[in-house]
Amino acid sequence: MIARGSSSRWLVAVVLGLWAAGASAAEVNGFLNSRTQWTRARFEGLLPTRDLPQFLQTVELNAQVRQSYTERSFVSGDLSLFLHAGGTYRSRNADGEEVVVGDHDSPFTRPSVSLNELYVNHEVRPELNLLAGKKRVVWGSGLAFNPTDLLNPPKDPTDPSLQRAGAWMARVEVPLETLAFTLLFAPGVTEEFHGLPRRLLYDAQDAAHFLVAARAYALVLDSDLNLMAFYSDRFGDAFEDKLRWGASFSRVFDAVEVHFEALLQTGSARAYPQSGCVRDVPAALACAQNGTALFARDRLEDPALYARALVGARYQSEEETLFSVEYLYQGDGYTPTQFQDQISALALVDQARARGLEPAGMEELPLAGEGGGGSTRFSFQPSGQHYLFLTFQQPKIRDDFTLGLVLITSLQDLSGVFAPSLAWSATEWLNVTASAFLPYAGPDALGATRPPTQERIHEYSLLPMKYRAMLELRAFY
Amino acid sequence: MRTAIAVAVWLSAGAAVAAEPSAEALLRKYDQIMGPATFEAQTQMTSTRDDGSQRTYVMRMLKGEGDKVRIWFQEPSAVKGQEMLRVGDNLWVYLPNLKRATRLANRDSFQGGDFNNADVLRVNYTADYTARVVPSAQPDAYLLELKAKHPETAYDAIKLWVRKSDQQPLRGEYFGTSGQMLRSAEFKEHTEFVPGFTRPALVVMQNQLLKFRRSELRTRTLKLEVHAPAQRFTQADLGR
Repeated sequence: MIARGSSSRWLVAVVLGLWAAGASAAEVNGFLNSRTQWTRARFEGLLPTRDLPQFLQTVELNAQVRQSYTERSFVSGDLSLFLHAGGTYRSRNADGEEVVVGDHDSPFTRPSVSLNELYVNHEVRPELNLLAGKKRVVWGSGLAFNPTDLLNPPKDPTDPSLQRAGAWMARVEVPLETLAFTLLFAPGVTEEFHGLPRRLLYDAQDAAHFLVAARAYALVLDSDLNLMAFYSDRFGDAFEDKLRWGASFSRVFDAVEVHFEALLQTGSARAYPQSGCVRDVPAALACAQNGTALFARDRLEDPALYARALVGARYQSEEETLFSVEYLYQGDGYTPTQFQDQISALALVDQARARGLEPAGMEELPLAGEGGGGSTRFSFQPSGQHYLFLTFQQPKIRDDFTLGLVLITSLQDLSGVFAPSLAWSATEWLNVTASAFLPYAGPDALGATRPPTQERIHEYSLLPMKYRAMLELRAFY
Repeated sequence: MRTAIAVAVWLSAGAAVAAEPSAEALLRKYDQIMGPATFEAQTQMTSTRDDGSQRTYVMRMLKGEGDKVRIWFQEPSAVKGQEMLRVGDNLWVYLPNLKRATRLANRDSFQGGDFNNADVLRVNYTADYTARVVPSAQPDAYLLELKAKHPETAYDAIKLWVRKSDQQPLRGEYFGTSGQMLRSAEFKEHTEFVPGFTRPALVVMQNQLLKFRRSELRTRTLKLEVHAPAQRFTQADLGR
């Protein structure tokens, strides 16, 4: 057993050691980030907004420390502390009218620690590299999304650089001149305390949670090729004893970078709405009486093959304008019929909540984007089958101002999120960014129907926010 | 007597013609000066912006045998930890916030400045361009006209002035697909970094599309014949 309850103590000791090292000879850098955001709650929507602060002020203090103990071996840490202040909660009453909810404790306003990385990297010889600790390892070539990333917390597709957290692991890597072979073992974190792990590998019932991953990399014909194999047991999803295969490719053709990434598996760990239970209230009550949930992970043992694949291209013009386009396919994603069932289920839950009932198990619901706040601006959890990501970036539109436009759209119902931003690199050490998230609905004909109002709902009009505007200041040190 | 004089003049003219280096030889010399086989250098890039203010980037550069270059950004804090790697025609950038390497094209801008990636990371004009010597208005310099051999090059055409006396580069003009001049460079402060090896310590790159912007690349120190293991020039090593 790797750890039982006491892991946070040695972790704190290591963190303190890193800070102490920082005071001596280590390389230390990081940033102080202030984010002020205003979210307009979609109080009339299907998802509750009671705990969603419309105003949220977040301060992040990040420190990245690196201490070498030989020329090519080092200890590295990346730690963020988050403090939040928020309020202005909104919800609706039984008549569907907007009501003010008093300030209260919310998951989005609790202080937290994010130990993004903490690892020892030891180079035994140039051809043999060992690593132990927490690190973000990404093998896939996708920019906005990585279908083969089974290890790390999901990233924000509108700015992938905002997610730096990795996974605990022990890794052996053999880098050769144009080849590299990697084998890693990642124990799951089964209990956390304020963002720090209290228990690894085994849960309270002594069930193991882990992932073993192997990767072969080759630089062939000026292309990056990765072949991956994953074996997991309750790691990041409900799969047990599961083998999956992945591959990725990236190459530059003239001035265009082209990439492809895919994951292949049998079955799916996704929770699917149960059609027979979500038709109407009597059907839901009948299911509740015989113990059938509205959503069930009923394809875990499905022998059918499912693929998740992403293909994309990136181009930078001579004027430094950047264009990026990516398409994501998820074989196990919801069909329009299943999305309709999801909306029907959410409408039933909404009606139950209006009567003061709180159905259990709803945290397993797959939703398009986390509409809350906290340390994440926007996390992408696609539930459908087809998505398109478009990015446009124009630096130096004036002085050191960069204009960014990101569009995430579901190709099933054509709803999406538009995320414009204007970033100003004011000095070498200060960046100022104004940005927004603007969810939009697709055509009525492609939406699902919300019973009993008959309102048309799309994947991104389901988000609990109408829009979000943010101002960020980041000072580097 | 007249015949003898004519023969002597013809011979001396022939000798003079023979002393003129070929375009290929001048290009090879340029590569030897600006991109020696292996070296390690401490360099500094300063970008001057619209309002006259400046941004300075400090980096360590390592070049290995066979067209391999790796760069570690050391300053300022906002880019510390960033790395770049070039192996032949392949170019990657490692961004510590992304925790991964991403492929780049030669023509992409280098660190948002007025150099592009190939200006800094790929000095192998012999492999990338065909050259011919054309008449120069500058009497102490040869003028070389370079044309791209393949579409992956950073520019479609380059004009390069090299000093006749020691074949050190003096000036460059760089043209895009449209034939428009994108950048021009002045090579200055020719310095003997190690005995017998002289090169410009300062390259001033003027952006011709945004004329109020320019970048300077200054070589602070340079060591030749530095031998690093092949693993230092692999994608897997980025970030370590």
